[in-house]
Amino acid sequence: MSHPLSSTEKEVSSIKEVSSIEEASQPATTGTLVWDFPLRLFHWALALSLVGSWATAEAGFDWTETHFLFGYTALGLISFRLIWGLLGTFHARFHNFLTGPKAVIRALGQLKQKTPPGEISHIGHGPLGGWASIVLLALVMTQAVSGLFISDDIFYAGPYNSVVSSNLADYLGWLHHTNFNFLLAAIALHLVAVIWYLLGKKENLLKPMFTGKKDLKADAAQTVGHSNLLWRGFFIAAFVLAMILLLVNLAPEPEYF
Amino acid sequence: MFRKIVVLTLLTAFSSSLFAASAEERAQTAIDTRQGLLKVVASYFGPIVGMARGQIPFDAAVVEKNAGKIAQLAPMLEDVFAMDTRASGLQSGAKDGIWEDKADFNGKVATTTERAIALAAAASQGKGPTMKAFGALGSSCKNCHESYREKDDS
Repeated sequence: MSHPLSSTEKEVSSIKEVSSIEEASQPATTGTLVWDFPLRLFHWALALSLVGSWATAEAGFDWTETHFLFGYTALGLISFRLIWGLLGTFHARFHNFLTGPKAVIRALGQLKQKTPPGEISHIGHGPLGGWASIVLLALVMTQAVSGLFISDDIFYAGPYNSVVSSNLADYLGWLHHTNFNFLLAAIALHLVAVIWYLLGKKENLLKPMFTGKKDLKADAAQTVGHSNLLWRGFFIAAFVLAMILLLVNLAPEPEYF
Repeated sequence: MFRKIVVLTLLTAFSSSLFAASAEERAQTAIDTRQGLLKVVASYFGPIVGMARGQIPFDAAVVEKNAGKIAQLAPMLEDVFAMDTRASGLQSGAKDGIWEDKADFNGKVATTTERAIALAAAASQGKGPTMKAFGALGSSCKNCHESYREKDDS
């Protein structure tokens, strides 16, 4: 199986061309772009910001500001993903991967089956992975938003701590620390699922999250947009960045008296 | 006879409710006082936190002055928490342990006082030693909060 090793922008714009060439030579399968570049960038940047948030939370007071930066980054990334789920490429859109309970139950049953060689179980998100991604988004969002308001009364205070009552801040502090455990569990489940797919179902989900490409049967090919979506991704990212900067800069000045 | 009993009962009920009210008021005053004291401590501590986070420029004179004030205020914590307000049923963030293990509570207060004095002394030695002493003082606050402050988290 040959993958075109062009740059991402090229690979998006030339994807239809590439697949038609490959269809001619290899009618069975083709390296088709499923996860677009903005989505992959989002995924790995989010992973990085979560690891960074965790490390800086453990590292103590000197790392507070860095922890905040990771938190803002995570907030921006989740916001981007929510917009990308509405305006993004085919497999990034929520309505293309969020299914009803029947499909979820069926997917649960299929978890035990090996994927036949040369096949893939789902082109984009499966029903389980799709909902799992929503759960992860919600958990990270909860974590990032609650962090804005909380304080330990001594060393730390999120930028919006002073705008909420101390009762609410206490509650959100509890949420921030409890939700973290759920987030950790969800990430563990995510990793276990990827490993299970790799070793149990004999299907590599990790590689497409780097390359973006999966080997699809030609007739199942659902190609991912074209290059103007990269621009759209860029503009959405710029918009989200502006919103986050606004959020941080509009925070009330801490008062010292 | 019967009338006497009724009058006595009413009087007892009335006066005990009077006492109850005054006991509650006293408890509320105690709660307000200790919360107020902690707010004053926080107001002196806040600028040092701001310096540590780089939000305001480091100023050794302010650190020395504020840490000195905290060293004066901290011993009062022992006094304002002396009154056991648990029976009043009033809401506050104070955990029962404050009165169940008074020696430990007062020991923690003493540690905070010592560390505030140490911070005031460190201020003239530059930012590095000051921030180390600041960290030690803050940890003593945190340590006591973890044991004795109820977070509104349920």
